[in-house]
Amino acid sequence: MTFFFGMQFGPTLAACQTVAKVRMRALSIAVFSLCINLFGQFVGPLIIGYLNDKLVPTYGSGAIRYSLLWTGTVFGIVGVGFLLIAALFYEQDCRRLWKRRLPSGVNTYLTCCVEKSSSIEAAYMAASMYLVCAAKESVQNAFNHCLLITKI
Amino acid sequence: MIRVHHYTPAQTGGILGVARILSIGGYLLGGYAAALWARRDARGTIWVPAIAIFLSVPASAVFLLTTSGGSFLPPMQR
Repeated sequence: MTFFFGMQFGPTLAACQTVAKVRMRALSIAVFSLCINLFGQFVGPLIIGYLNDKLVPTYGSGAIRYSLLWTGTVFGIVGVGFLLIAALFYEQDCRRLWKRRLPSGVNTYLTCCVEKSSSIEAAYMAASMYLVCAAKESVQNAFNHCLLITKI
Repeated sequence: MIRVHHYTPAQTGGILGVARILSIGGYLLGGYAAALWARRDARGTIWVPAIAIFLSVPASAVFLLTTSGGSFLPPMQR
Protein backbone atom coordinates (compact mmCIF):
# COMPACT_ATOMS: atom_id res chain seq x y z
CA MET A 1 0.00 0.00 0.00
CA THR A 2 2.72 2.48 1.01
CA PHE A 3 4.65 1.34 -2.06
CA PHE A 4 1.90 2.65 -4.35
CA PHE A 5 1.43 5.80 -2.27
CA GLY A 6 5.13 6.50 -2.67
CA MET A 7 4.98 5.99 -6.43
CA GLN A 8 2.69 8.94 -7.02
CA PHE A 9 4.61 11.53 -5.03
CA GLY A 10 7.63 12.26 -7.24
CA PRO A 11 5.83 12.49 -10.59
CA THR A 12 3.09 14.69 -9.11
CA LEU A 13 5.66 17.16 -7.79
CA ALA A 14 7.45 17.07 -11.15
CA ALA A 15 4.18 17.82 -12.95
CA CYS A 16 3.55 20.80 -10.65
CA GLN A 17 7.01 22.15 -11.39
CA THR A 18 6.69 21.60 -15.14
CA VAL A 19 3.49 23.59 -15.59
CA ALA A 20 4.55 26.44 -13.27
CA LYS A 21 6.42 29.51 -14.42
CA VAL A 22 10.03 29.58 -13.22
CA ARG A 23 9.38 32.40 -10.78
CA MET A 24 6.29 30.59 -9.43
CA ARG A 25 7.79 27.14 -8.82
CA ALA A 26 8.17 27.65 -5.08
CA LEU A 27 4.56 28.86 -4.91
CA SER A 28 3.31 25.81 -6.84
CA ILE A 29 4.99 23.43 -4.39
CA ALA A 30 3.75 25.50 -1.45
CA VAL A 31 0.14 25.28 -2.69
CA PHE A 32 0.56 21.55 -3.36
CA SER A 33 1.88 20.95 0.18
CA LEU A 34 -0.88 23.10 1.63
CA CYS A 35 -3.55 21.05 -0.16
CA ILE A 36 -1.96 17.75 0.94
CA ASN A 37 -1.86 18.85 4.57
CA LEU A 38 -5.23 20.57 4.54
CA PHE A 39 -7.08 17.58 3.11
CA GLY A 40 -4.80 14.81 4.37
CA GLN A 41 -4.25 15.98 7.93
CA PHE A 42 -7.44 17.92 8.58
CA VAL A 43 -10.38 16.79 6.45
CA GLY A 44 -9.30 13.12 6.16
CA PRO A 45 -9.13 12.29 9.89
CA LEU A 46 -12.32 14.27 10.45
CA ILE A 47 -14.25 12.18 7.92
CA ILE A 48 -12.72 8.91 9.12
CA GLY A 49 -13.58 9.76 12.73
CA TYR A 50 -17.13 10.71 11.80
CA LEU A 51 -17.64 7.53 9.77
CA ASN A 52 -16.11 5.43 12.53
CA ASP A 53 -18.54 6.81 15.08
CA LYS A 54 -21.44 6.03 12.72
CA LEU A 55 -20.22 2.48 11.96
CA VAL A 56 -19.33 1.36 15.48
CA PRO A 57 -22.91 0.20 16.30
CA THR A 58 -22.86 -2.06 13.23
CA TYR A 59 -19.30 -3.35 13.06
CA GLY A 60 -18.02 -2.89 16.61
CA SER A 61 -14.25 -2.63 16.94
CA GLY A 62 -13.85 -3.53 13.24
CA ALA A 63 -15.56 -0.28 12.20
CA ILE A 64 -12.20 1.46 11.83
CA ARG A 65 -11.40 -0.89 8.92
CA TYR A 66 -14.48 0.14 6.96
CA SER A 67 -14.22 3.84 7.71
CA LEU A 68 -10.60 3.82 6.51
CA LEU A 69 -11.48 1.71 3.49
CA TRP A 70 -14.45 3.80 2.37
CA THR A 71 -12.61 7.08 2.80
CA GLY A 72 -9.51 5.76 1.01
CA THR A 73 -11.51 4.28 -1.85
CA VAL A 74 -13.71 7.33 -2.43
CA PHE A 75 -10.85 9.84 -2.25
CA GLY A 76 -8.61 7.52 -4.30
CA ILE A 77 -11.15 7.38 -7.13
CA VAL A 78 -11.73 11.13 -6.92
CA GLY A 79 -7.95 11.64 -7.06
CA VAL A 80 -7.62 9.46 -10.16
CA GLY A 81 -10.46 11.46 -11.74
CA PHE A 82 -8.64 14.74 -11.08
CA LEU A 83 -5.43 13.33 -12.52
CA LEU A 84 -7.26 12.22 -15.68
CA ILE A 85 -8.66 15.74 -16.06
CA ALA A 86 -5.14 17.12 -15.52
CA ALA A 87 -3.80 14.77 -18.22
CA LEU A 88 -6.21 16.32 -20.74
CA PHE A 89 -4.65 19.77 -20.32
CA TYR A 90 -1.10 18.90 -19.29
CA GLU A 91 0.57 18.87 -22.70
CA GLN A 92 -1.28 21.99 -23.77
CA ASP A 93 -0.14 23.80 -20.60
CA CYS A 94 3.46 22.69 -21.11
CA ARG A 95 3.42 23.97 -24.67
CA ARG A 96 1.89 27.29 -23.69
CA LEU A 97 4.47 27.79 -20.97
CA TRP A 98 7.36 27.03 -23.26
CA LYS A 99 6.01 29.40 -25.86
CA ARG A 100 6.08 32.18 -23.28
CA ARG A 101 9.66 31.39 -22.34
CA LEU A 102 10.97 31.42 -25.89
CA PRO A 103 11.57 34.43 -28.14
CA SER A 104 8.80 34.97 -30.68
CA GLY A 105 10.89 33.76 -33.67
CA VAL A 106 11.44 30.36 -32.12
CA ASN A 107 7.76 29.66 -31.52
CA THR A 108 7.06 28.81 -35.13
CA TYR A 109 10.02 26.48 -35.15
CA LEU A 110 8.88 24.82 -31.90
CA THR A 111 5.43 24.16 -33.40
CA CYS A 112 7.10 22.56 -36.43
CA CYS A 113 9.21 20.35 -34.13
CA VAL A 114 6.14 19.16 -32.26
CA GLU A 115 4.28 18.35 -35.46
CA LYS A 116 7.26 16.64 -37.04
CA SER A 117 8.62 14.58 -34.21
CA SER A 118 5.33 14.11 -32.31
CA SER A 119 7.47 14.23 -29.19
CA ILE A 120 7.15 17.36 -27.13
CA GLU A 121 10.24 16.39 -25.11
CA ALA A 122 12.41 16.40 -28.23
CA ALA A 123 10.99 19.77 -29.15
CA TYR A 124 11.77 21.18 -25.71
CA MET A 125 15.30 19.89 -25.94
CA ALA A 126 15.71 21.40 -29.36
CA ALA A 127 14.30 24.72 -28.24
CA SER A 128 16.59 24.79 -25.20
CA MET A 129 19.56 24.04 -27.40
CA TYR A 130 18.43 26.81 -29.75
CA LEU A 131 18.60 29.34 -26.93
CA VAL A 132 22.03 28.14 -25.81
CA CYS A 133 23.43 28.17 -29.33
CA ALA A 134 21.83 31.44 -30.32
CA ALA A 135 23.63 33.14 -27.46
CA LYS A 136 27.01 31.99 -28.74
CA GLU A 137 26.68 31.33 -32.45
CA SER A 138 24.79 32.56 -35.46
CA VAL A 139 21.09 31.90 -35.80
CA GLN A 140 21.72 29.58 -38.77
CA ASN A 141 24.05 27.37 -36.74
CA ALA A 142 21.56 27.26 -33.89
CA PHE A 143 18.85 26.22 -36.33
CA ASN A 144 21.05 23.41 -37.68
CA HIS A 145 21.70 22.15 -34.15
CA CYS A 146 17.97 22.07 -33.52
CA LEU A 147 17.34 20.10 -36.70
CA LEU A 148 20.00 17.59 -35.71
CA ILE A 149 18.53 17.07 -32.23
CA THR A 150 14.99 16.71 -33.50
CA LYS A 151 16.08 14.03 -35.97
CA ILE A 152 17.74 12.08 -33.13
CA MET B 1 -3.59 -3.13 13.89
CA ILE B 2 -3.72 -2.79 17.65
CA ARG B 3 -7.50 -2.72 17.79
CA VAL B 4 -8.33 -5.35 15.18
CA HIS B 5 -5.33 -7.70 15.11
CA HIS B 6 -4.35 -7.18 18.76
CA TYR B 7 -0.71 -6.39 18.06
CA THR B 8 1.43 -4.68 20.66
CA PRO B 9 2.61 -1.12 19.93
CA ALA B 10 6.12 -2.46 19.31
CA GLN B 11 4.88 -4.95 16.72
CA THR B 12 2.76 -2.29 15.07
CA GLY B 13 5.77 0.02 14.91
CA GLY B 14 7.87 -2.76 13.37
CA ILE B 15 5.29 -3.49 10.68
CA LEU B 16 4.88 0.18 9.85
CA GLY B 17 8.65 0.54 9.72
CA VAL B 18 8.93 -2.31 7.22
CA ALA B 19 6.11 -0.75 5.17
CA ARG B 20 7.93 2.60 5.15
CA ILE B 21 11.15 0.97 4.00
CA LEU B 22 9.26 -0.75 1.18
CA SER B 23 7.80 2.60 0.17
CA ILE B 24 11.31 3.82 -0.69
CA GLY B 25 11.16 1.43 -3.65
CA GLY B 26 7.83 3.01 -4.61
CA TYR B 27 9.30 6.52 -4.62
CA LEU B 28 12.21 5.44 -6.79
CA LEU B 29 10.15 3.30 -9.14
CA GLY B 30 7.51 6.02 -9.53
CA GLY B 31 10.09 8.63 -10.46
CA TYR B 32 11.91 6.30 -12.82
CA ALA B 33 8.72 5.11 -14.52
CA ALA B 34 7.46 8.67 -14.95
CA ALA B 35 10.77 9.82 -16.45
CA LEU B 36 10.80 6.85 -18.81
CA TRP B 37 7.20 7.36 -19.89
CA ALA B 38 7.62 11.13 -20.28
CA ARG B 39 10.26 10.53 -22.96
CA ARG B 40 7.55 9.25 -25.28
CA ASP B 41 4.58 11.13 -23.91
CA ALA B 42 4.81 14.18 -21.63
CA ARG B 43 1.60 13.06 -19.92
CA GLY B 44 3.47 10.07 -18.50
CA THR B 45 4.15 12.31 -15.51
CA ILE B 46 0.40 12.31 -14.88
CA TRP B 47 -0.38 8.71 -15.86
CA VAL B 48 2.07 7.18 -13.37
CA PRO B 49 0.50 8.79 -10.27
CA ALA B 50 -2.98 8.00 -11.63
CA ILE B 51 -2.10 4.31 -12.00
CA ALA B 52 -0.34 4.25 -8.61
CA ILE B 53 -3.36 5.71 -6.82
CA PHE B 54 -5.67 3.35 -8.69
CA LEU B 55 -3.56 0.35 -7.60
CA SER B 56 -3.34 1.60 -4.03
CA VAL B 57 -7.12 1.22 -3.64
CA PRO B 58 -7.18 -2.63 -3.86
CA ALA B 59 -3.90 -2.76 -1.91
CA SER B 60 -5.57 -0.75 0.87
CA ALA B 61 -8.56 -3.08 0.74
CA VAL B 62 -6.32 -6.13 1.18
CA PHE B 63 -4.45 -4.45 4.03
CA LEU B 64 -7.59 -3.34 5.84
CA LEU B 65 -9.81 -6.37 5.29
CA THR B 66 -7.31 -9.17 5.83
CA THR B 67 -8.21 -11.43 8.72
CA SER B 68 -4.86 -13.22 8.85
CA GLY B 69 -3.10 -10.09 10.10
CA GLY B 70 0.54 -9.97 9.14
CA SER B 71 0.66 -13.42 7.57
CA PHE B 72 2.30 -11.89 4.49
CA LEU B 73 4.92 -10.14 6.60
CA PRO B 74 8.11 -11.61 8.10
CA PRO B 75 7.34 -13.73 11.21
CA MET B 76 7.34 -11.73 14.42
CA GLN B 77 7.08 -12.72 18.05
CA ARG B 78 3.51 -12.21 19.20
